[in-house]
Formats: sequence, structure tokens, C-alpha cells
Amino acid sequence: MAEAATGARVGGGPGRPRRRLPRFSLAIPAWLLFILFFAIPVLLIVWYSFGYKPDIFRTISTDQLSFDRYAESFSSTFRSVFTGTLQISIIGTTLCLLIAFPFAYWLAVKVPSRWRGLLLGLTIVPFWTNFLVRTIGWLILLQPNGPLSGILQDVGLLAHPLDVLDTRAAVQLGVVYNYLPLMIFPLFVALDRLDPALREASKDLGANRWRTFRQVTLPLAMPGVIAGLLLVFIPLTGDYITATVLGGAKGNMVGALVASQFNTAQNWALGSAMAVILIIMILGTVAVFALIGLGVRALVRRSRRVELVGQPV
Amino acid sequence: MSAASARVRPPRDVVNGLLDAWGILVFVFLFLPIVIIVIYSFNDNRALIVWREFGIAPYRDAIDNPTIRGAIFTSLRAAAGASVIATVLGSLAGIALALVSAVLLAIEPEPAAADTAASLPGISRS
Repeated sequence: MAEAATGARVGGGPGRPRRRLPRFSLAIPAWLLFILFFAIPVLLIVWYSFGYKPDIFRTISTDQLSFDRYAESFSSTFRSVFTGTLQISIIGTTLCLLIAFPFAYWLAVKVPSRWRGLLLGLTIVPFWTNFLVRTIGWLILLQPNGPLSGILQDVGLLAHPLDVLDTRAAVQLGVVYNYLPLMIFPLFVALDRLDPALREASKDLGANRWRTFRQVTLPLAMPGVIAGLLLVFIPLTGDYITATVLGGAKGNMVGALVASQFNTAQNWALGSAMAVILIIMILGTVAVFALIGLGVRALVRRSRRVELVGQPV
Repeated sequence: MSAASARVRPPRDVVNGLLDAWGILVFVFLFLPIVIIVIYSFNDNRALIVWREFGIAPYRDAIDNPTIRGAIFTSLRAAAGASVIATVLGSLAGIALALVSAVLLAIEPEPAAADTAASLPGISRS
């Protein structure tokens, strides 16, 4: 620690160091912003979630605290939305991974390097396009009398107009589309950093393609996979724009439910309780999958260790 | 692979072909709704969904509409302000993070980099 301090002082310039503010003080403005606009609002939501809606004119009262809003959130009306949201987000995150992995691999490994920058830039364009605008693009596309429906009917794949809007399937498609770039970028970075020599070495040592992928490429890309899963799953579960635009009544998600409690029903207590449950649901799901992942990793490592010890060269 | 054959394009095989097809499909998927929005922005019909004929009337209407003009300028002002504030606060926090983590992780200035700098002409180690 003392060495580090002198090292840093040498870097700071010649002469005796003057008394100055601690190093972290530059971060104080960002902390204040974080506390003011993140920590306090979230704590306020937690506080409100124990309150109630006193009458039709007022939105919130916290003079009597209870868990009643949580019980209300878990009532049969809303429970299906919570399970539906979890289903949409788990399937959506999985689909994003399955679509993005071959794509990121293709972009990072197969595409000639002179095209790579351009194609990567093209991948960012949809991400930069406004979220709502992209979703409305799908709203036009999926209309029963819209372009996709017409093409599918002309080709003969569909006997009657497309009837997917205002269903859970439309929301599922929308969230996969909206969050796909967030899966592609970390995967691309992870795969792009892989030294091609590793794959060549694997090939030289007699591994076929599938084995190289399974034992060299995939394990080394795991940090990218995990980053992508978190980047997609967390915002996707709380998303409400996609569900509001494409979902209708059948494709409702918790985010949209929370928004409607605050904006339409004016029941801030119930909306807050739902938001808290949503946060806990996200953290819980991430924790469960992290534990499963750690377990699988331990099993894989154990099986490999046995293989190495059991078959000495 | 020898040096001579390294210049030749690798032979097309099934997996590479499938990956190429997948890449193109994903790009189509990514751009489909955006292209649709651009096409329908030239739709000369008040209803969003029903295509009537090509025209720039929607653009004219948007520019003539004072509410839309005001909204555009509000967006630009908000974006500019957010960018400035985020850049300042983020830079300060980033510098603080780098300083603190340099102490915590006991990172010394890299000797290799210093040697490289000293070996450059015109830079001598004092």
C-alpha cells in the first residue's frame, strides 16, 4: 500500500505533495446524481409500496403501512402477467442468444476484415434508431392488412390475413428484435478478441470443428455470453414499450402494468408494489441462473479433470 | 495451411454457407421495421397503415406543424444538455475511478511503456 502511494505520487509530479482533496472526490457529483435520481426514487417506490390509495382523488397515502398491496399484486388477475412476463423474458433472452451467437461469430471470424467495420456499424444503426420507432415499424409490418401479411398470403404461406398483433407472440417477436443488438455487441467483442491461433492449434491437435467450438471457442466466449444475457434479460423483463405497442390485452407485461397503475389507475401504492416485485423477480431469476451456471461449470470442470487424470499420456 | 494457399479464399463449405446466410437474414431482420418506417413516411394518406400513394405531404405537414417543430427543438435541447452533463460528470467519475483503482490495485506506471518512450529519439530518461 505504501509503495502504491509513492508510485502514485511520483506520477503526480515533482515536489512534496500539497494537501488536497481525496482521490474519490471527483466522483462526488456523479454520486450525488446517482443518489438523487436513482437511490432516492427507488427507496421512495419501496416506501410507497407499503401504502394504499385512500380515495379516487388521491394517488398515495402512507399513514398506514401494510403488505396488502403485495397480496393484491399476487392476486389471480396480475399473477398471470408476472408469469407471462417471466416466460417472455426467458424465451426472449434465449432466442437473442441463439440468434446473436452465430451472427456475432460470423461477423467476428468469417467476414473478411475489410467488411467487418462497415457491417458492425450497420448493426449499430438499428440500436441507435429510436426504440419506439422500431416498435411502431413492427406495428405496421404485423397489421392484418399490412405488408408482411400481404406477402405471406401472396406466397401462399398464409390462407388468411396475419393475426399476430395484440398477442403474446407479437410481444415476443418485438422484444427479441429490440434487444438483439445488446446481445450481439458483447458476443462480438468476446469472439473478436479470440486469437485465431487458438482455433488453429485446436485443429492441429486433432479436434474437429464441433469439438473446437465446444472446448475452445465457447468457454473463452463465456464472459461475452454472460454480459449479453444480463444486458438483455434485465431491461427486457422491465420493458413496457414493446408490450404497450404490440401486446394489447393478451400480451401484457409487468412493466406495462406498473405504468398503467401510475398513469391510468392512479394507484401509486399498487404500482410501487408491482415494481418492487418486478425488481425482486429480476434479481431472483438472475441469481437462480447464476447458481445453475456455476453448478454446470463445476460439473464440467470435474468431468474434465477426471478425464485428464484418468488417461495419462 | 501453407503461405501460398493462405492467400486463396477458403473453400466454400456448408457451415460457412449457413453462417453467411444467417448473417444476411439477421441483417434483414434488423433493418426490416426501419425500412418499413421510412417507406411509410412517404405514404400520402392520413391513416398510418393503409398505403395510398407516394408523396412528401407528411413531411410538409410535419414541418408546418408548430407543435412538432417545438417538440423537435425540445428534443435537441434536452439531448445536448444531457450529453454535456453526462460527459462532465462521467469524465470526472471516470478519472476518480481510475485514480482510486490505481491505488487499490497498486498499479505502477508501466515500466515497459517508460522504456519504450525513453528509447524514442528526442526523449531521454531524466
